[in-house]
Amino acid sequence: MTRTVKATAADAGAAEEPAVNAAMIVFDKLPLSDTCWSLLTGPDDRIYAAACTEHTGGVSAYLLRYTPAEELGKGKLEYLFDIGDAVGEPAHNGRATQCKVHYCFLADPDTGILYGATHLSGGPRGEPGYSWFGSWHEPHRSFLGSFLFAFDTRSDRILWTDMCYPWEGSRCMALDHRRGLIHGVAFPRSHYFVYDLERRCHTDYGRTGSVNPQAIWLDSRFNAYTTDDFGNVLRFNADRQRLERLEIRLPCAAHSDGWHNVVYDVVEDPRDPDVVYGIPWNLPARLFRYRMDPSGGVGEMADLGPALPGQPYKETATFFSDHVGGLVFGQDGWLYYCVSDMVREVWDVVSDRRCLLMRMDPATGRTEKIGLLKFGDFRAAYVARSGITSGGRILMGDVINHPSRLYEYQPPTSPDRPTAAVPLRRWG
Amino acid sequence: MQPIGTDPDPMKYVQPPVSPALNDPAVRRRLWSRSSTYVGEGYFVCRRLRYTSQYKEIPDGSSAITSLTVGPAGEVYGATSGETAHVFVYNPRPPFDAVALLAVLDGETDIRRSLVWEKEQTVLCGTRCTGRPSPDWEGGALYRIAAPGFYADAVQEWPRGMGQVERLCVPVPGEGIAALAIDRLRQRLYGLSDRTGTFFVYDLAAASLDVRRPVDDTWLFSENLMATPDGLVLTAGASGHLVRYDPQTDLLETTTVQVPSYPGRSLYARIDSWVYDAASGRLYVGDKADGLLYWIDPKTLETRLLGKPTARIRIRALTAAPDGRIFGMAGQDDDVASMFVYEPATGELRNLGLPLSCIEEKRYGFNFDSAATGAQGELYFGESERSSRLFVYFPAYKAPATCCGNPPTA
Repeated sequence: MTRTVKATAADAGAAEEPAVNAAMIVFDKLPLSDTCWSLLTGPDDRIYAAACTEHTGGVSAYLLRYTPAEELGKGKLEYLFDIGDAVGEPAHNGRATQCKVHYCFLADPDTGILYGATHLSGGPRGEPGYSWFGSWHEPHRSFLGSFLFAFDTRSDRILWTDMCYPWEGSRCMALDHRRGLIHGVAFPRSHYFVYDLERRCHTDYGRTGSVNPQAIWLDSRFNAYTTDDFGNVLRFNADRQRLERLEIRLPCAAHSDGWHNVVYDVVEDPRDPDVVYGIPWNLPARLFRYRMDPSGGVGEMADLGPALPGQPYKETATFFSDHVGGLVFGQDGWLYYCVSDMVREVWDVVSDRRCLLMRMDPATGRTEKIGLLKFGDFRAAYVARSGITSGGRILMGDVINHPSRLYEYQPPTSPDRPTAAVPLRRWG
Repeated sequence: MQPIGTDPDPMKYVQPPVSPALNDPAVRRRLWSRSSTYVGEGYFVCRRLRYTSQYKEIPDGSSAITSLTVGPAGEVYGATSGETAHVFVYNPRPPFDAVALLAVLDGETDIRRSLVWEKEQTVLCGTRCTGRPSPDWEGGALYRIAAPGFYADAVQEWPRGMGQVERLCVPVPGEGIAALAIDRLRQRLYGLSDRTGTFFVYDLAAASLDVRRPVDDTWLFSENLMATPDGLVLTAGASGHLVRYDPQTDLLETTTVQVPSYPGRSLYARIDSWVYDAASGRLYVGDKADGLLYWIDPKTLETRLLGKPTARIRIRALTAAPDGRIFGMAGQDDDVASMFVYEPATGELRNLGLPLSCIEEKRYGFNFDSAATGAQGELYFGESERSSRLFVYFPAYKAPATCCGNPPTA
């Protein structure tokens, strides 16, 4: 049985933002799961999510699927398979586990295949953690590598699996389904690689920096983009097979030198595949619009201002505690996203968390607070990725709770905003 | 594996019993803080390969620092490998603390272990090609590069200029240059070609070339030439047999001495890196087969295995601190580097951890292919990545028994 909790108006505190009218869908059958980094609308219009377990040793990630129903939170939640078992690296084998799928779900609209690639950080069974640098190439406990699986959403079969990058995890990926290529960045060495789906092998294009970018995105010609540590845009030129640094950067606060301005989340403009909206992983995070130039130019970057306007400078804010993510376009043309500023090291302590669901009108740049993701006494910590179905239902993946969970939200319709289809996301 | 779509097996999530203490974040923090991965003895600075922030860096893909050498005034010369080889100089002195680009060697891709200081503001380098050479590539060439020097007495408005490049010769046509060494006393440059291991001598005063023979008939050799101040030159041939050139006799001699290796591994034994330690008169050597560290007495050819400082199988960069400590970087291309130190005074060999710079840029050091010691005891390590930095390491020195007349705190 799926446990769901609906927020009510009574959840809205007097001194803070109201609770969002949303539902919470808890992964009850995976009690040790603690994060849901990867969430994607599949080629079959259902929502795929990874239940990840990185803070308990010896547990693999699990693939789940959610099919929304008319009523929020009443959809069908399916536990599909243990990813460690599927790729031949069961969680109890003594090595660091295949514990996560980070931003590495990819949907192929032509074949109906959902690709996923694993990531590290969960310790071997019985161990209190995993030191990826300290265990580098250690034959017994080391993470063996990132495994890719191809899941046919039409037949519910795993078609094949393969190690796509040895010894390291995959942080983020994008799918060039026309050329049969997957672009990825590995962790911890931040190497950019391209996996060839036909030849089943990868090519390494070298290091991007010391901080992993958290997204790779594509233009209309399937050139791939990401950033280095300072938010400089890197482009993988698909025709020249070359990774190049462009003379353009993501925006950052004036007091910052731009370090750690790696991209965090990016979403395609539904009206123009050569325009993306995104957010860096920085403090305070500023939304950007990037018009790419697939013909080879650097494109145009627009700073859209802070994701949470008016937020005062806070000395204790950190990259760990403050995030902006879960960017998704609604069918109403608003850009929806989540802003968090109170993730704490002590998990499951929820009393002072704040995870705001926000939206921005791309036409005017105006932002609005929709409300807090809050369900009774429970408050969401943060959301890294969101997805939308053709019915307009927005699903958000939760980070930092036992068990992990989803949040489901239906944007209200408005007669003055015509609805439009949202393209299938081409990256994780 | 369970059938797809069946509920998870609850038994998989039953964990072995653990102490409740591990649920305390403070306990977990302590566990991790006692298990630091990074070099915590001494500290690193990394310098971008550009003059100041107004300038572009040596381009990504061409910036792997694969040769380093230091002039007597303390200026650090470096050469890169990649799509186009570059030569630069780093001046550590204020007001500069800057990298100046000296030359872009169009058509050349690699300068590896082949950069030597010749005379004031002048270096010599040798090139090779690790990919497929262009049809018109004659072979690795010797270049002389004269730097314009640094002039300034303020933090801004410095004159800038590129170096003057002189192409001297192609010592072994069709082959690249694997290694260079210089004997400044005799005005000679020694080199090894990269395919057949042919030893050559270039007379700097006469500008004449003398090509000798391969150092081993099998063409199995180490891509390093080790030189001592009195002019001896050593390398290793097949199975790690030392090969010595003595300028007094002008003989290139294959000796019966083999470098240390694990049983059954001498076939793979190669000299991966080396440094001459003036205090002991020894050559310290890093091994390519298994990551061993040993020394060689260049006069007697006595060797002594010191140990294997890390789990890595290569030692690609070695250099010596003025107090005789030997610092090195172990690891191959797809590794994360492991830094180590050998202390001759105690015979201790210690793994120091993963290099991490937090000055100028927070940057992990994963790959290093060159090293040199600066005039003030600072150590330089050349990063070898798609986008590379010059890492400067300041070794820690033991605190005196008393400091300013006070006993050191616990």
